[in-house]
Amino acid sequence: MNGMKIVCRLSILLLLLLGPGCGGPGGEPAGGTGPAAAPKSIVLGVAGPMTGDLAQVGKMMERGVKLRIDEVNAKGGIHGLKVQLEIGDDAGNPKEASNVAQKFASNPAVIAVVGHYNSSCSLAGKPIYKEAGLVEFSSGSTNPAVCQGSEWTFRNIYRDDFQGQMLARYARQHLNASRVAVFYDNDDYGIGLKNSFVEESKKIGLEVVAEQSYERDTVDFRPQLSTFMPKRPEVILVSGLFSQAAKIAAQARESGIPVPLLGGDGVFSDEYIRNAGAAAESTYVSTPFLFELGGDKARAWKEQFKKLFGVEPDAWAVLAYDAASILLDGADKAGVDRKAVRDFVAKIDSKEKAFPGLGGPTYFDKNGDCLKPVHMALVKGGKFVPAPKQMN
Amino acid sequence: MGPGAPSPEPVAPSPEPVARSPVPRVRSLPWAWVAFVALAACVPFVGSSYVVGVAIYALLFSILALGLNIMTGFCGLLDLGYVGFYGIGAYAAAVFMNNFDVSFWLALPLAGALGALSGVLLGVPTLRLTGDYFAIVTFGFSELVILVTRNWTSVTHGARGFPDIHKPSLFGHEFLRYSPTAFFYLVLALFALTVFVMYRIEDSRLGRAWFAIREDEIAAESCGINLMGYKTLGFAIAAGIGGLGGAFYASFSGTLHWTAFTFSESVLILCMVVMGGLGSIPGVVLGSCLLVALQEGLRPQNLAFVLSPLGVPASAIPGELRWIVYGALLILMMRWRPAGLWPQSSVAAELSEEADEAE
Amino acid sequence: MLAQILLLGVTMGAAYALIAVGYTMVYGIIELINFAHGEIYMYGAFMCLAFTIESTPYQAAGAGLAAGLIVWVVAASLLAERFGRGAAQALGSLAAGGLAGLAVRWACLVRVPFALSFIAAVALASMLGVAIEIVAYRPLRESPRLTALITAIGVSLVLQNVAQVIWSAENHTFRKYGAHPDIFLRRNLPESAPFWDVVTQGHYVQAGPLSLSLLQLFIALVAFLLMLGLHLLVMRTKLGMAMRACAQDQAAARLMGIDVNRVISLTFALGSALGAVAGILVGLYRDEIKPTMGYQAGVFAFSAAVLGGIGNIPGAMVGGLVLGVAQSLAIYFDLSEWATGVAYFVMISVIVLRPAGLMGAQLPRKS
Repeated sequence: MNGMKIVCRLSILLLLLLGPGCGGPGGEPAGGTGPAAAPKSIVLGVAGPMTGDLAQVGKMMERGVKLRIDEVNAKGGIHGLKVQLEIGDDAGNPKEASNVAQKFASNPAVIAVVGHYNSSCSLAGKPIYKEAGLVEFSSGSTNPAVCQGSEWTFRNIYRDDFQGQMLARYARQHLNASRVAVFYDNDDYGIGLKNSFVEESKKIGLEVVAEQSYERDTVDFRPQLSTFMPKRPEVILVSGLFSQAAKIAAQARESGIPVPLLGGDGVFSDEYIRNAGAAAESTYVSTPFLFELGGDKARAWKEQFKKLFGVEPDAWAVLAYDAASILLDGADKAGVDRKAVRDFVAKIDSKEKAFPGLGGPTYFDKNGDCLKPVHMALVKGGKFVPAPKQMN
Repeated sequence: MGPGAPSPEPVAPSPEPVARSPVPRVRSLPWAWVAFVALAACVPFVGSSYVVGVAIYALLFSILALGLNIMTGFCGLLDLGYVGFYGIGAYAAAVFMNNFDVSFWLALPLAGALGALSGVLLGVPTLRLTGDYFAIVTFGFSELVILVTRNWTSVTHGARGFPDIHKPSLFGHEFLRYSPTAFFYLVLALFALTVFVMYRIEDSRLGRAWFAIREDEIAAESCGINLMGYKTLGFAIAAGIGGLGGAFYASFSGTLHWTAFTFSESVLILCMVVMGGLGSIPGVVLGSCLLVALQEGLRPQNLAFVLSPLGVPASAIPGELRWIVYGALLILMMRWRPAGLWPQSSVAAELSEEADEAE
Repeated sequence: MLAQILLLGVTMGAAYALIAVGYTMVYGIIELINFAHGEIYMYGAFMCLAFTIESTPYQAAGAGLAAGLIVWVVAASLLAERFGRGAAQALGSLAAGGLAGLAVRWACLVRVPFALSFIAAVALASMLGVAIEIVAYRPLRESPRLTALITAIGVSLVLQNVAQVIWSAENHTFRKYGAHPDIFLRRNLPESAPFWDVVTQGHYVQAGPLSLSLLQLFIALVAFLLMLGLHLLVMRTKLGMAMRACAQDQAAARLMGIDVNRVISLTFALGSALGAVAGILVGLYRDEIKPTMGYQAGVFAFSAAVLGGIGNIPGAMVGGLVLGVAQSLAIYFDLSEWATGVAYFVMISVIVLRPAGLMGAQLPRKS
């Protein structure tokens, strides 16, 4: 009797487990507009941190993709099929990311996925997307390992080691520096960027005179800054995110350190200038795109984005928009099929065939890494402007 | 097929505070478990790979929760840092497999052993602590584990995450590639093994000693039970199971990052144990499966079958909703079913008694 | 430079101590590790910000709704305690909640002077603490401790995510909205500038080689005064005596005619108020306020409470300071990656070597 009861309870449990996935195999797109016959629509997934600490980035990605999907749908969709957006919230946690990846993989209506954002999440999703034969197109993961070993993973942001090299060369060639001090965030992004910067510096004769790390919740950088001063650096690299970089800039200026600051794309945010105020002047940052260099097209896009969502777009919105554009373009030109989309993206492999994205021409190498030019921006008069000298 | 609202079926409460024996009567259970495992084995034939993926986590967390249950349920030691052992096992397995080319089948027990060893090392100085102080030390320990994985870059790849961990292979080729189905059967086997071991332990001299310690340390000691010895052994076994779980996770996920081993995971596992019923083996499994299913089921996109008839698009539901519902459920559960969904009969009896005493 | 760094450690330590006191008070009286305490800290900071700036209508509505709920719960409980249950009381508490909600909504839509915002936010956060106790913990007073612990975790999860729904996950700062300009840069303020502007706009006091911002000074001062006040309250007043009595033995306290529920509510109110003060001050100092800020701060403060001997109020103060200083020393010795680890390591060592904490004589009973 007892045994029967237990079997019943456990079976209920199994049903519960099966519950969440039942929409999947039927191909019914989520948020579906009713039980429409046959696949009347195709689904583009967006995977990113929609909740948790990084939710604002995830929301920006979502908006970027949504804007592109709306544009495509306004023009009649793809081969007459409406495109739908499906969100996969990985909360910046690799465990969640693998569930999200499985969910997308098991829904045949999904033709490709924009995401993930965190490198750890992209890595967790990689084997699953590979097995399922679904494109994972990251617009935010800069860890070099992300695209290795999977022909289904691409990204339209450069690897942070590439960015680090570029920053080192820029400091040497265009800022004429020979001594540099390095400040880095003790996390994935900060360490990766710093390592490649330091490595490249050694090759090109740029001396790294000091290295200091910090945690995300550091507020006072004066102790570290004061250890820099006696070593007379000519440039200070801040390998981290804008909110700490702003404090570093403010405190460096206050401590009487006049040398230019150098930062990666993590610093490229209007928040940086707003937070650092006048201290942000003469900061050079590398960025995958610049609205100013994008010309009228970028400006118009920015306006449209603002009108639609009521907020200013940032780099992540632009990159996610570009990612969605490439993937949907692939579906349009090569066919509504996961494999076709992948092959289309993989064929964009040279400068000539580059996809004219909002964030600049985009093309990929064999790994699926993007070979994008690095732009340099300079803070001048309270805003980012293209630096007078660019890398070429 | 419509699964219906995933409400935790309030199974007939077991108001049997009569069972006074510390060892529950579980003779009819083996058949039930065989049936459960057999039913579970059908999941890959019925569900999509997403369902299988979720089921893998449900079973993995069942294993972990069963491990924690030894400490918190059997021995009565509150552990707030169980995820530390899970993390140690995961990183150990990854390092063995990728850096030393050890096969998964060897790395798995090695990781378990390393987990157990760390359990002993932590346990010996700390197990004499009482109550919450022990809990706090375990919490601090798991935070230190995270810190080491983040900063010991040369071994753990640090904050960048451990990439591309090898997959298990059998007979020379990687048949377990990335398909969730193969991993599902692997974890199901591990799960069955764990459950089996749990029952054997519960029924043994060891289990009885633990229950005695849980009920009353002083009485147990005066009966000649070596408190430190039995507690340390319990800690080691629990930690070893955590290590095993970690090794499986490392290989399944293929990448490790410290964010998968934060305090909130410890809390999650603890919730599974408490929600299911402290000390109750089927209860703990129920709790883990339920919480994993809930976490997934409450994604706005998965609620489409409820929402779309109401004309509410999934995008209108904030993603945070699932955490809010999840938290609220924990609160409600503790209010209305504090002994868990499927209490161990002796614990239920003790609880009602404790309540009487407190009056 | 060492002295400078120690000074920074003391500032953060003072803030930790303020939060830690909340943990320790609650633990002392009902032996519960109140995981939701970090969320109260966060809520205090957010409410103060919301009052100070002009929030969006959505945020104002959300904040109003939340505040209305809190006030409703507290009012209902107070009225029921004083006059028993009844329709009039129910209506009264509903009215109180509704009015408070509307008032908060309005206050969020306009700019309120900082000092006023500060007081209102602390009051609301302290009511939140009481409301949590009434709704979640009080029914579990007689259940095993683990039950209450899991409930606390659930409360924390709910609060953090509700805050995220209302305010979104982005970083909020006082400065971003022009409410309080740069803390870190020196500004030339007119002689007549209000005190608060002087504090938050970061004038520095220069004492030899040391420089100390007024905000830092203020944090340390506020923390010290509040702690002193709390200590006097606990040791010298009748309420304090009642608190100590409840902490020792609730049943006996009840026999002595102490209203245990009221004392526990007041303990929550006090602890939460201190937590909220810390939240606002740290929000200003770190220049960022976000829904997840309670977690890390809570973890550190909790460590601080343990360090000093959990349940022991002066211990929490000492623990907070030790932790803050230990972390800053880690930076000084170029171990900044391990700074958080220092906290845990110190905590574990203290527990293993001296389980009653640095200051504690009181051992917790067996769970």
